[in-house]
Amino acid sequence: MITTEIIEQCKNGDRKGQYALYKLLAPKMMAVCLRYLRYREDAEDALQVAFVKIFKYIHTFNFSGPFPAWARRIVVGVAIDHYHKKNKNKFIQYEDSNESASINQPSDENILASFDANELLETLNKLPESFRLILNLYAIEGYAHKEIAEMLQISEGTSRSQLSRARAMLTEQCSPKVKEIQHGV
Amino acid sequence: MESNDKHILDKQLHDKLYDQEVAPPDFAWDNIEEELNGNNNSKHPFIFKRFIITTAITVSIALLSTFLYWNKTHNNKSIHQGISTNSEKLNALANDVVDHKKGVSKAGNTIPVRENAVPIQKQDNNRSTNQKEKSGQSASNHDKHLSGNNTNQNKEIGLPSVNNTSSLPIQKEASELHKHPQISKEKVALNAPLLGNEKLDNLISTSIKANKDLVKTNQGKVLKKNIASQNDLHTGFEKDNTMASLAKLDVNDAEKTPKEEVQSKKVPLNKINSAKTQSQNKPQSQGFKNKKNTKEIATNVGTTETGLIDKENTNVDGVANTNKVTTKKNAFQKSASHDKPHRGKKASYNQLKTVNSNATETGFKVKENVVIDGSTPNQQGNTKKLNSPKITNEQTPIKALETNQIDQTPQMLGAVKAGEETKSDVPKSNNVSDLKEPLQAFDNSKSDSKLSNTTKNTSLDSSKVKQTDAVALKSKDSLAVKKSKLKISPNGVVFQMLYNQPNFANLNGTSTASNLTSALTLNSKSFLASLLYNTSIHPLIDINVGLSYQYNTVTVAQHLTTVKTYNDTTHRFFDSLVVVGVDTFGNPKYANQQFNKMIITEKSEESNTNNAFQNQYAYLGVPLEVIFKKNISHKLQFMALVGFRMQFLAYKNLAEANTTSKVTVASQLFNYYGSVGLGYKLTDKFTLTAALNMANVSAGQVSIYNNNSISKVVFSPELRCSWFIF
Repeated sequence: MITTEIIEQCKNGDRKGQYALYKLLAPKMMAVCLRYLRYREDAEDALQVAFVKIFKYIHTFNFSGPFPAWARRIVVGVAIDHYHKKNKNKFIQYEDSNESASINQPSDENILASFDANELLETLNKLPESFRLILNLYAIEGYAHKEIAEMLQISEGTSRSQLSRARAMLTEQCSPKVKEIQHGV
Repeated sequence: MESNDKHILDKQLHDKLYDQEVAPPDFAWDNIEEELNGNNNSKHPFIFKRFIITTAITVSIALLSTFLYWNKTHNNKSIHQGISTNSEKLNALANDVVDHKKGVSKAGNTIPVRENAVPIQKQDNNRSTNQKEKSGQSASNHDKHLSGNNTNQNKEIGLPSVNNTSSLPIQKEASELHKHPQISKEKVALNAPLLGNEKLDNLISTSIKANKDLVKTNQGKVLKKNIASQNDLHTGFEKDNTMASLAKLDVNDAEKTPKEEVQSKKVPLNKINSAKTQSQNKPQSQGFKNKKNTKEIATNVGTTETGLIDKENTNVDGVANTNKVTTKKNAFQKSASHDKPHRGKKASYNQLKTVNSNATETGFKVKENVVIDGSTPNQQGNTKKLNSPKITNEQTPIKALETNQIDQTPQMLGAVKAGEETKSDVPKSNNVSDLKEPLQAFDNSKSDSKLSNTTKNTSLDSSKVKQTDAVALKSKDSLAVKKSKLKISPNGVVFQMLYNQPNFANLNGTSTASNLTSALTLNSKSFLASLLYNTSIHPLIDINVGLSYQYNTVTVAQHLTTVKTYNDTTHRFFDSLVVVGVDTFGNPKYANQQFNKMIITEKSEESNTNNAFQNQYAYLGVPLEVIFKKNISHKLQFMALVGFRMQFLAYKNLAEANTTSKVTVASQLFNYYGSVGLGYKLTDKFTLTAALNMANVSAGQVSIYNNNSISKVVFSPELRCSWFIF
């Protein structure tokens, strides 16, 4: 539990408080980094940079919202910066040649129900970079298309279209396992 | 419907992944903490860093001053004990030859030369003056020649005449040495290595010798108690040894050009050598001829000295001198070397540690003095035929070289003495069997002496290292990989260019030797260029200040399984701020044990136009290095290393016949050393870190000297491999 006392200690530069905060936040932040960055080494780098940034700017946190959300935004921003570095500041848009296929993809409300977090993360990592980023930002983190467009330096329309395709591809990726489960049952 | 499905999909993703937790790596916090410490330091960087740097420099200066003071005082106290053993003299030579403290640097130089030595002529002048005053006409031609009062004006240039009278005046002076208290300690320190030689023995009166506290073993190992430093002996020569006295030399020959002078010297020397070789060396050393050169090995002291003298004379003809090309931990190579060598986390440090030995041009002219002083009755018969070399007052490059060579006399004396020492263990009945072992060793080394062979061996080692490399160079840009436990300095080919500028001030004993070395290190992982200035303030202490630039493509191993490669371009200027080394190499005061062997071979008279000088050494010493380093992370590191070092040196001087302007020297050096010490990162939580530095340096060098130019350029490609564990 992140307490006000811990945050105040961090603001004062107390190493124990920083370590306590790190212990509380690091596992979740590590998962965030892993969702945005395909390789673990990159995620570890991003995590370290993000925490340094958190401790550096924690004095700007004014308790107007939950601290984990504030920290998460920093982590996401660092992860995206890292992504841009790796991809030379270009957002690689995935052009699906068979767009209609995704639209006609049968939907299943419980398509992801049989997946645990690790399996789902593994499936996400199989998606193209742009799809994975937008799914993460929109579906998981809850960013609006406008924010996503700014973060990824793309247009809102691109964000929307990429999101649609990402959903379709994710469903397509998950459907074989769903069918296996259904047949097994 | 579709939008509803999308929301369901998004919600499922959110529910399953939003609160997902993954354990971060164990070292993540350490890295974060380290980074935070760096940020904290940056809040007050200037004052804090300045304080640390000031403190570090102050401490280092204090340590050095203490060491110097202790060394001087100790030497002064033991002035009467001084000169003792041949091994000590050999050690003096050893110090001259292998004046490297830092790994790579050591590799390059081959021929023993010291610039910071006080000119030997001073002794000669002093001696000659004393001779005139005391013994009147008994001074040798050479002495007269040096003193400028030579009335004979012998126009033949060659080895100085040797006679029995030469040693007697010296002994007289020995007693006078103690009468000159005015010699500065500083000069004494500078002169220290030069003193070990036979001349000194002669100089020492019988009573003084009786006071020596010397322990010799029968096996050629000389253990010395309370070794009197050679410095002590110089005290007596201090006052009269000036360049002014040198200027007086050879007024008659001033008209000759240096080149003519050299050539004129050369022929007589060769003749002398040939004659001498026939008369003495040949019969005794038949079994030990050098296969290639058919050179004969002198088996007794007298012959060995003669051979060496001849060699020296050859050098006078234009043979160049030693070059010490070194290379350092660097990166902490060392890199360099660990290299630096050798230092902490930066490989480049080891690599670039370059220690320039005092450059030298050698001339072994001074050896003439050696002949005079150390000639045995047997030699005298031959040496009497020799004419003392003429020295001109002209300050041409050759002249300058010659003057420097004069300074080298003590070294050569030490060398001769060393040869004598080796022989001293041998029965004086010219028993050759004792010489076999050194000779065989030399032959073995000789077989490996080719640069190509050395290079191959080294390259193999280097490749091995690369395979298992786990270089831990911290990247500024990346926080990853900071916890690698094993750091191995990059290996590669080192190209060094040594610009050796003779320091004429040395002739007055008022300045120190200095070298400027540029090094280029290339390998698959890094590119390192450095410019290093080396100066010697003491025979045992070098100070290097350099600039370096490094580009690294670092391969970092994490968890033994994950290998990550990234580019790290770092500008590492002043990487090695100060490298102060106290090297006890070959100095019996500090070395636990030493092995010295010298083999001198000569060509037969059939090829008397060419002489070759071959030598090999093996040392075991105790180096001490104090390293201040500023690494990529802007942290000043302080490290003191104490360890051991074994070095095997073999070199061959190939003087081209009838060529006075060019001398080619081929050398090879094998250097194995290791050190264990404590590293102290001043700006990082004040933690002490143990360091183990192991290095294997094998270097070959071909040096070409142009005696018509003062500056020498030495191209010494080296292949080095070193390991640095930090």
